[in-house]
Amino acid sequence: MKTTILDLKVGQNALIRQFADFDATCKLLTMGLLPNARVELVRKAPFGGALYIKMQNHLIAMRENEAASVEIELL
Amino acid sequence: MKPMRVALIGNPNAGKSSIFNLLTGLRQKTANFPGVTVEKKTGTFSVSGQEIKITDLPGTYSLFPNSKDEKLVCSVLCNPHNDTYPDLVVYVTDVNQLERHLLLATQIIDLGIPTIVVLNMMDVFAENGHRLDSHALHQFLGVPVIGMNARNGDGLVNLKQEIGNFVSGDVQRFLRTQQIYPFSELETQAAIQTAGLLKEEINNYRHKLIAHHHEWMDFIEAKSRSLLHENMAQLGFENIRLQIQETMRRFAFIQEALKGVMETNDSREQKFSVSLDGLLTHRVAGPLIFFGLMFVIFQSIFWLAEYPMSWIESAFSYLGSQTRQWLPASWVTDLLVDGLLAGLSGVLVFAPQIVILFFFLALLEESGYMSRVVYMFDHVMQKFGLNGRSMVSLISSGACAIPAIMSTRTIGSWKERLITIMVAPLIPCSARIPVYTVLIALMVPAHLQHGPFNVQGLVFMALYIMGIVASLLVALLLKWMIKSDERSYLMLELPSYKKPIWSNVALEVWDKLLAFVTNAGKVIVFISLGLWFLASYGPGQNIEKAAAQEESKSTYNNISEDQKAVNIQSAKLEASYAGILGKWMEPAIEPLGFDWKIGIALITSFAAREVFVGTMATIYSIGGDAEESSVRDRMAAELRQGTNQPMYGTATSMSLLVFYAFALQCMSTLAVTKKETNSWKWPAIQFVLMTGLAYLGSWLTFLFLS
Repeated sequence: MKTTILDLKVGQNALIRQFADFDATCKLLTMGLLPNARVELVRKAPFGGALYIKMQNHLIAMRENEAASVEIELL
Repeated sequence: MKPMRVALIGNPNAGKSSIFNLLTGLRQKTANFPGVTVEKKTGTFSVSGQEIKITDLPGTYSLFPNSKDEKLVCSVLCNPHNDTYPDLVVYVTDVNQLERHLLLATQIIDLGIPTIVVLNMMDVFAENGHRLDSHALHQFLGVPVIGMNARNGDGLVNLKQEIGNFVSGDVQRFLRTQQIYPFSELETQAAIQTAGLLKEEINNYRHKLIAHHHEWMDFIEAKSRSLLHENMAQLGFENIRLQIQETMRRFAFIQEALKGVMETNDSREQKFSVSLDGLLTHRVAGPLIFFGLMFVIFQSIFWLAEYPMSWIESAFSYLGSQTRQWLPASWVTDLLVDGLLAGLSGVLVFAPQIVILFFFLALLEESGYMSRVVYMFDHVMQKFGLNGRSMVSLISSGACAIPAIMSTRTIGSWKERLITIMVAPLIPCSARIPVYTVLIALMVPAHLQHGPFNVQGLVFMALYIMGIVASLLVALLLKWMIKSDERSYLMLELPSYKKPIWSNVALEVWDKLLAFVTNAGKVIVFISLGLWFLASYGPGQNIEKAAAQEESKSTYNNISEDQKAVNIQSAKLEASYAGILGKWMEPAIEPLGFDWKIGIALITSFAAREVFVGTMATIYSIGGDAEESSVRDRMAAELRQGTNQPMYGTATSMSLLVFYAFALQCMSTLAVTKKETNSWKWPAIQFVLMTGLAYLGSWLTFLFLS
């Protein structure tokens, strides 16, 4: 099993390695999720299902299945 | 001379509309792009005597589109014959997010369209101690780069000056000599073949984009489309893989270029936003704060709007009585006062509520809070087949379903968007308020208290909750019925919290008010004219006969002059076309506890439910005075035909309330659903579903209560 953003614990940092989901990749890239970019899981949504992610200088929200397609290397 | 066309382009949250507002002020209008319902904001301004037409295109991340809005921008830029194809692009970036925002900039520059790049929000950038070498950035991009701060207008002069340079003919200054993104052999082949098939002179990047997107670009003819499809397959042009490759390589160029150009450290805004979100999106506090905020907003709408609404009503009734004095009594005067003025008043009376609601919504949007709402509720909404973004539409629906349905464009998945459109009208809108007010007052004495609560208020709240629950249940039903394999995304940017720019808020509210008054206004005025005709005329001499009959009967029974006039009015209505229609449908609505008079109200309020109060006023012949209290008194005195029971007992009133809560009595909603779904099928389903729900609900209510 590859480690993905979904495996991050709150407050944990990681570097993006690659994308598992071919169709979603372009969307992820344009949102600034680039290989080697640093991500931090800030918190999870009140009713679950979505993650609050901090990138180098912007914030994004993504669903768990979107997060599961981004492979990472823990820092 | 033909006006020059400028397009404003940029990522969402780059501050495009602020710059648009700075350039145009009030010289702007909102329409739709022809054939599609993507909102098109255009405006005019002039630079060195040249009239310039500027279009604010929807926020876009890249020319590899993911939503309806983005596809539109892409087709405009790939088709030089498009009406909106710009002579010059003003590309707006948030300089604090420069790396991401430059992706689309490099794509547009590669299209060979003259471009100016604006670095917006320089103030925040400087406050954070960031530094930027704009000369080096200019070297990389090859087009003019301008620093701006749209909040206070800094840099606007420079932008206008640069546009002036373009006007005076120095086009080369705005073009890069070479593409930023160099093609591989395969990409070059694809572009050459595409240009060849379309019999066009080659423009490398534009033809590569057409090679990517010909399947959905509607300016490509069907014949060329299938040829392109074959050729690209033969060539081994793998659409998605090549999109990813291009995007990654562009970012690599941008990162490389920015290395020497920009120095950044952690920004204060982001830290502040992250910690504020600790509270505002907190597991428990987040939703509580949201519902509290909604409660306060809707309370203040009713409370604040009460005063201007009563001013508008009395202004119109004054105008009506004055008109009657000035003009001789004739059918023209009747038409003017009872038809046109009454109709106009029915529209404008909602203007205060619309203004207040959209003021709050614009505030939530501008400050960045709305994205947090989308994030918090996405998961819950998905259970009902909706998207987090549906929250924004459903909240707007509390004022009016029309702008709510229009705001669903940001939902990328067709199924989620469709369900949002279908259920939005079930959320109680402001037009239901006058109907609810009259009917609740009939059932519940004004000062009845249940513990600390006012019972009228509680019934009001119950009706709201009923509407919300119904919309979620219908969403659930549609989720099971509509099949789709389309992917749905959340992927949402959470912009840093910002103080709202007040002029933006004001312009947004003005825009929405204008749209409401013109769109809804046309329908309501039209309907009230029609209603006036139906209620004033009947087949042959029926009305005159009925009036004469009633006159002699009343005289015989020795009834007072006032009462006689009322009875004659009533008899005339019964003999009119409207009365005939009401009688005709009476058997169908009898199980719900309604009679033919309510039938007339149902017909007239089919087009717009707020017409109910006015119709009741006409039917019970209270003359031009349609104040709610008098309608209520008259209705309370009405007896069920042939009995001594009050017509509007609890059962009938409750049944009528349920009917108005569910029935789709709004022509404008149907029209906007037709436009947004581009078919008659969905508005038809919406109408049948909601009316069926209303009938069933009313029938059950009457059955249990009578």
